[in-house]
Amino acid sequence: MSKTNHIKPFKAGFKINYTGGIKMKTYLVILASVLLVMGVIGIAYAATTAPVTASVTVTGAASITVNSSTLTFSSMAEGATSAPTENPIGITIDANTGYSVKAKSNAATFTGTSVVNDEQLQWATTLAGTYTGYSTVDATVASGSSPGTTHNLFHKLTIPVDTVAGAYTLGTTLSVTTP
Amino acid sequence: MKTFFSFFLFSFIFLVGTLAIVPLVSAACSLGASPLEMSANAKLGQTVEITWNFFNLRGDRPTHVLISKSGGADWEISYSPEAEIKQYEVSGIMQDSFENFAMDKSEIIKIKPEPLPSGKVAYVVHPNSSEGYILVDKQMKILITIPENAEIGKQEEFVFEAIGKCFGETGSVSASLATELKVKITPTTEYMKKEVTTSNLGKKIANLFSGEQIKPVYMISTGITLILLIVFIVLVVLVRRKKIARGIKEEAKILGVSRKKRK
Repeated sequence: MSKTNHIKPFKAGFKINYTGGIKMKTYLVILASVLLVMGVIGIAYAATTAPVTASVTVTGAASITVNSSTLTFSSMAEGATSAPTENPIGITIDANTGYSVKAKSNAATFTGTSVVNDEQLQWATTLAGTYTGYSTVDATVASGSSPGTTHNLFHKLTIPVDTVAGAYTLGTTLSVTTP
Repeated sequence: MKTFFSFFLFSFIFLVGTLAIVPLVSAACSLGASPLEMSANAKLGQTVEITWNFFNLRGDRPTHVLISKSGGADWEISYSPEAEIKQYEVSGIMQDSFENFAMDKSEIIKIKPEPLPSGKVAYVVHPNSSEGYILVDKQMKILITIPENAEIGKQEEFVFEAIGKCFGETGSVSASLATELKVKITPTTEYMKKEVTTSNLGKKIANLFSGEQIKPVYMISTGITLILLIVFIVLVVLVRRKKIARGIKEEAKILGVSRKKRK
């Protein structure tokens, strides 16, 4: 009779020691619990410790003051150049931020009988400095950042040749602007 | 001699007195305002109210102020108080002024005015903060209505200009003073407002699935957790396989023993 090895069904009564397996199962359960807790803490921590950016905007304030709002010229002949009585005009700026002072004419020509262009009225920051003619486009005449600073603005007016006699007026605007 | 001396003395006194008096006759015109810029978010159809404070810091006469829009979209804008023609008697002469309001020299105080004195509408910190506070008499309310067809999220910038004039001086050239206010308005929707109020935890979980940008520290935390979970799963699989293999081995051993016994 040949002997054949055949595997018989596993018999009850034979106990295989799975103590090591049970211990491993316990460790795995503990590890799973720890991981779960870590994950929840991670998300919760991320949510509760979100960085907060504090920001504040300081309200800006600016004031412009001139010691004379008009320029008075004595009678002038055609072709003559003259400085006004109020020379220079003192422009005092009070601002809690950096600023620019700008000047422009309100019209391209003087109001009067003849055509006298606004550029005949010129400004400079010093008496002997370079003079620039007014235009209807803003030109920066001064800038600064300290409150209570006074900037001087000098003027002169040239009457073109062949200008008809009469009264001539021009409006200008001095503005304070901030960046 | 006596007469000549008297005449000379009188002339000298007159000259000195004139030189002393003339510089004291000032003609200062002043215009100040706060704030200088502001921004707001608003829904379509909503009206934004802007408060613009004015003060006359150094002037010795009233400043007459006219407000206008100098830049920005053609949205519905109204002003309070509205501009109108007013008449003033200046040195016996009646003068017309088209203005929103006129303001006298403003009062400056050292201590923060709480509560506000009667007749004052607000206070502004002096540009030189060591000077104290400026009490505001005149305020401009600018109302801007966002059109229903405005583009959501597109910021519109408006520039309002305030022109100030003073009376009492005559000359060939007259200077006005000006300052401006920049206003930025962004139309928004109801939905965007609700999203802002979502809780942090819900938002973080939603972000994990929506693909929105997540801060690195949260990504690291989530990543570590995921890696550990994967390691755990792999371990479980390996252990189960080992268990099965051991079980088969044990069974084979037992069967081998029983075969020997039968022999």
